[in-house]
Amino acid sequence: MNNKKKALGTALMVLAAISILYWIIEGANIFTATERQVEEKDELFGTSTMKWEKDFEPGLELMGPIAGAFFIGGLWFMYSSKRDARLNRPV
Amino acid sequence: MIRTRLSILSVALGLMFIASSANAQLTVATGQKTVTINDKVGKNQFQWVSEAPLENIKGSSEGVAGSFTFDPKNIAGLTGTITTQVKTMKTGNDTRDGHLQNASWLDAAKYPVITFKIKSVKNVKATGADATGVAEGEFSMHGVTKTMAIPFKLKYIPANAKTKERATGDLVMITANFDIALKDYNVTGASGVVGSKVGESIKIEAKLFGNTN
Repeated sequence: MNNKKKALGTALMVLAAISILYWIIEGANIFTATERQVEEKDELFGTSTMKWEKDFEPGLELMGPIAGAFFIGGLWFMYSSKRDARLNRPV
Repeated sequence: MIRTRLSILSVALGLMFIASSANAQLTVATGQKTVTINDKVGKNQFQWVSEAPLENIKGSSEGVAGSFTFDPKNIAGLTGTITTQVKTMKTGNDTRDGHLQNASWLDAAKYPVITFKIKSVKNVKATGADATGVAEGEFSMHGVTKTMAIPFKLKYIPANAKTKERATGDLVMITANFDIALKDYNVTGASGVVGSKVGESIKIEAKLFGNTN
């Protein structure tokens, strides 16, 4: 049981780190973006314009609570695992 | 010796004057032209970027309309009006778009249109179908009107088989880059946001396409 809690705590901590990493890779936006701009070539005028395309880039308002929940969950399981180990230690 | 140098100098200055006069007009068309902004000619839009320490925001405004009149032989006489609808502004996030249009920011309900009235053009330089200049006029946003000078590039394409696939008449593209300081137009936003999450100055790139009728 104690080892399971420790493993779960570690997994949640890793998930928290992955969430933060994913947020950084996707542009570290404060707000979640649901569209992004894509360049469109205009051969006649020799220029380019931008058009909006559907996309999903998570913002801090979304990934912050998710990463926070993973981190707190991980922290709780790790603490719980250590507490169990202390209580189960032979006197 | 001095006399020879002076004559060379005067000839050079004369040639420069002739060259500069010849470079103030387009050589591809003549006569007064009215160009109407038309999305069939090209994607009319204002692209803008807000750079702030916490976040860079890219957006666009696409509800562009207007017209301008000019004689390709006298671009300095160009006048016209360009408008864009605040409600067409997008940043790629619906919540943020809502903030942008609410009363704290651009207040789309009270001030639905951003306008630039071109009154004159100076520093015109033209080569063939391309010209550059500085458009002077009145820029109105958020209920405030200020005089602005905006450098621009103009490309003129006389009607041909390719242009007819898009629209009738000659086609014109104008591009311009300029900055707008939010405080100049009383755009204050939510407390503490300008300067941290939203830039104090917004960089704008205009791409306007139209056709003559």
